[in-house]
Amino acid sequence: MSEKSFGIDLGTSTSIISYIQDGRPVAIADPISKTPIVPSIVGLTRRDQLVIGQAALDEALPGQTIREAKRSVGSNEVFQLGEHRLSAIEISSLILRKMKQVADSTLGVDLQEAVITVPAYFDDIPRRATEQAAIAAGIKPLRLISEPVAAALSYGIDRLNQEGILLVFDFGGGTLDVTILEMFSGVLEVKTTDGDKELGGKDIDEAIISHVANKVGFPVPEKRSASWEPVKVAVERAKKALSSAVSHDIYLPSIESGNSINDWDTTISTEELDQVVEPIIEKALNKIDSALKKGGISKGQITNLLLVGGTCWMPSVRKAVQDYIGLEAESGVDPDMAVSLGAAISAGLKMGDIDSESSVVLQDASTYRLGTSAVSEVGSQYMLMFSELMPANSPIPFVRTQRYHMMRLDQDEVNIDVLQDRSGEAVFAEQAIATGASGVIKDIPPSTTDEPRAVDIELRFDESQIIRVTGKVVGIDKSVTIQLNSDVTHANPLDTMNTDTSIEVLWESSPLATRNSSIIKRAERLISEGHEKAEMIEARLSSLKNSIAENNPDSTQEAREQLTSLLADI
Amino acid sequence: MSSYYEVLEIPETASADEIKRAWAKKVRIHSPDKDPEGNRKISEAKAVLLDPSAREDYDAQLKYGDEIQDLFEEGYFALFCEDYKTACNYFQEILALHPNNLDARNQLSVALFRNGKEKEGISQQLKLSQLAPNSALYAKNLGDLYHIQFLKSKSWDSYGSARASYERAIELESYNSSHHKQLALLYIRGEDYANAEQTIENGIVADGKTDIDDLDLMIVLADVYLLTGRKHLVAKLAERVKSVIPDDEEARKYAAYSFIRKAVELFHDHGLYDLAAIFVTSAKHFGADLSEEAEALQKIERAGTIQREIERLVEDKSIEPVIIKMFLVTIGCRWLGEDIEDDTIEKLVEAAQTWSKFELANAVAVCRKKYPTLTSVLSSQLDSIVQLGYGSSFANPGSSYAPRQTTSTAGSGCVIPIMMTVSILIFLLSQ
Repeated sequence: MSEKSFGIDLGTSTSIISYIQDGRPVAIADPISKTPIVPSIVGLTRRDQLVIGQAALDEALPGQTIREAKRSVGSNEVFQLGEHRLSAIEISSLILRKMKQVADSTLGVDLQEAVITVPAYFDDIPRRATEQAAIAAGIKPLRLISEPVAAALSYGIDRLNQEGILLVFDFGGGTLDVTILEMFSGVLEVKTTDGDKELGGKDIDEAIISHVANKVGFPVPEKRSASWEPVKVAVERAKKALSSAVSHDIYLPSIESGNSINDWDTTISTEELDQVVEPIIEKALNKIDSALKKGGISKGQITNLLLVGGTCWMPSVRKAVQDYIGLEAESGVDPDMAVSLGAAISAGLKMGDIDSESSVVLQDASTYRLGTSAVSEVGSQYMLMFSELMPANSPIPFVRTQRYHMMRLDQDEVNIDVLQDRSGEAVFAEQAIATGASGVIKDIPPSTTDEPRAVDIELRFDESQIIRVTGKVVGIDKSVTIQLNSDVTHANPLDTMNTDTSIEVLWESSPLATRNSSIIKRAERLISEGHEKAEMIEARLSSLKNSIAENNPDSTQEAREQLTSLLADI
Repeated sequence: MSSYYEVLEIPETASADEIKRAWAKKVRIHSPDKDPEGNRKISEAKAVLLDPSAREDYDAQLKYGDEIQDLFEEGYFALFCEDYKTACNYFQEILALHPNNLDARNQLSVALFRNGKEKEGISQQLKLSQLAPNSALYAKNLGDLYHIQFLKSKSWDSYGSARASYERAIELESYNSSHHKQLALLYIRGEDYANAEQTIENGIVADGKTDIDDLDLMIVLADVYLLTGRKHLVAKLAERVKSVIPDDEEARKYAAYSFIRKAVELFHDHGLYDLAAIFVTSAKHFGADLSEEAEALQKIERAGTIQREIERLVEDKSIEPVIIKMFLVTIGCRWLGEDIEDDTIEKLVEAAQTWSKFELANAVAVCRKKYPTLTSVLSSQLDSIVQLGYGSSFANPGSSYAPRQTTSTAGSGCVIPIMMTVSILIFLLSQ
């Protein structure tokens, strides 16, 4: 059986790719760093070559390193990488290419599609952006799955007979998701999700940095300045060390901050760390409360606790959450791996690599309400209301059609927009957030009856939680399918053309000989399996290897293309 | 289309646990992955059947759907024909089939109330508030019923209940200005003007902004000003309205006509001409094109000016002989539409004959100067009364004329007398 079910945890701080091997999820180690945990970092070496993952972390050159780009996915922020200007989508795409390459070169496959994870709290725009990043990396997204849901799936997949309520506390590098699921009769049903898309390990790092700066008596270096990187790296190291030691020394020579250069030399203890982290934990615990409230579930009903995400390695975080819920966290769940393994399981179920008869079925749910703005008569006045099309916690995939009436008999145009409400309390359109999805039906002929014409609005919310809306004028052939609009508020977040670098060119500059290694691996596998065209493959493979050895880029490319076209026919 | 019970393959008597198990079994077959359409159907079935109140509604719809719809149609028709007794029967029949049918209960309450069974109507509406405690509409409806009861019976218990119901509606739907308006009207009828004013002010800012939508409430505020004798505030209110009118002709017209409607109401229904004129002047101030109404507006404004002149004239001690002042006030009031007997005027005309033409003419001249509008519309009557004096207009005693029949020139439909002016008149006549 060839490997075809892949899941990628595209994290803020780290990314992991897993696949299904003999019906079980397995994480794939990066052949270079020998660990599956690939830092979500993109950098340039001193010779301006692209490096991704551990290599980029090792280099970590100021001004040549991009971290945590995921936080900006779907915004129009532009990152500077040496002389290149990149969007967050392009950076995500580079990381996904790296993940594909990890799989391709290790397994000798040509990864075409995968399930990709996103924070549960990602809404339509960053989800679409993630899809776009995958496509740009040559990966067809099978589906986007929420990270905590993937983690729950990795835990519950073969617990067919277990029943109870599962709380997943997913505290990652950049985001916090709290998802509550019910395990019942072989169905893993998402009840509700709450979270904070701007709370994560990164905030803990920054809190420690300002604590350390305060201790040594110097200002915090400016972000993205030359001194920021070493401080950040040192703090991450201290955070890790303090999960097993009681104190950790920090020594940083020549740190430039506040117009002076100083050596930073201090020690940080676990007690200090706990104090620094406390307000952040407090904020995170509040999200547990709001998730319980949203789902109408009491703390006492929770039967299982899953701690997921790198930040849950911190003993103080683990302890705080366990104490708060009054449960020990499930021990078999690896906070780093669970999400990626769950994503592979989701792919396995889709591709038939996992036997669905002996697995739980996942019934996912929406995390927020969707609606449209509609004028409504309230008392003596007309108000622009939030008209609900999809309630929060709706099972997905979701479809609903609702009929609206136009205001006037001769109205020839109708505006349709899609609004999102996380609070659950929006009454007016202005209390909800525009998703950016909007459209206009034009040139509608005047009504032929004494009532204004009606419009049917159909909302579809698919498994990847991507919105599709269609508006249709009743009785005539006029409709509009609404796609994301590039309006002012979102300033073309999905347009990768706002940057000036072709990521293809950048990718080619990677010293990892990326394409070559995976195609060589695949060719070698086919030869060892005794494929009928083995001889021909061998001939072209050796010519490629020779070209690489000669360090001739032109002939390398030609040889690679010949081998690729041969393998493409197989 | 299959019923939710058929979708889940369960009996209609299934318990919540049975429903959930059946759903889980179906989800395993129709997973979101493999059969999204089928999955949606079972999700929908489960959502409805596991919600007790939604399930009751669904069951009734399933069993009696057509019957209930027919009964509604009959009930609405009976309401339309004002046959409240029959309407009650229809809505009661619906409730017998589907006790949770909120709409039927709401209609029943209205029908009972209109059929004279006020207590029963209120008790149905109370039950509705218990069934749907978060419905602002039902809270307001309950308030309305108590409100009407209060107006009829002047029972302060009803007043208190109406107030509490409106307050609940406001709590649930603070942005809905009509709840504030109803409460304010209740306060006005209970003569609690301070609370009325406060309620309106709260209503104006309730939706977080003061705009043209609040005009309705501002007009009620004008009532409060008038009822508390602060008519000078009406002009200020007009300024406030003007500041929220957006820059388009439709809005200007909307604001202007709201004021004109108020003016017409004051003019026709209450005979408060000067106040009506204040509203007309304010309406003109909004910059809307009111050329179509020019004549009507001019009439109201002129009546307002005349009323103000009469009021000034009544206080005027400088008019000698005083008979001219009395005559002018009386025929002025008659012009405005006061119900004044011919007899009263004849008596005044008779009394005028005891003065000389010269004295009468002098007084009339002073009046023409000081009260130009009033005297201009009554010019011929004034000329006539001068001629009744003895002598010549140059202090010559002379011939007398038979009193001329004075006729009212006020062609308006002003029927209700101005209480204030009438009392002044009586005072003058008794002197």
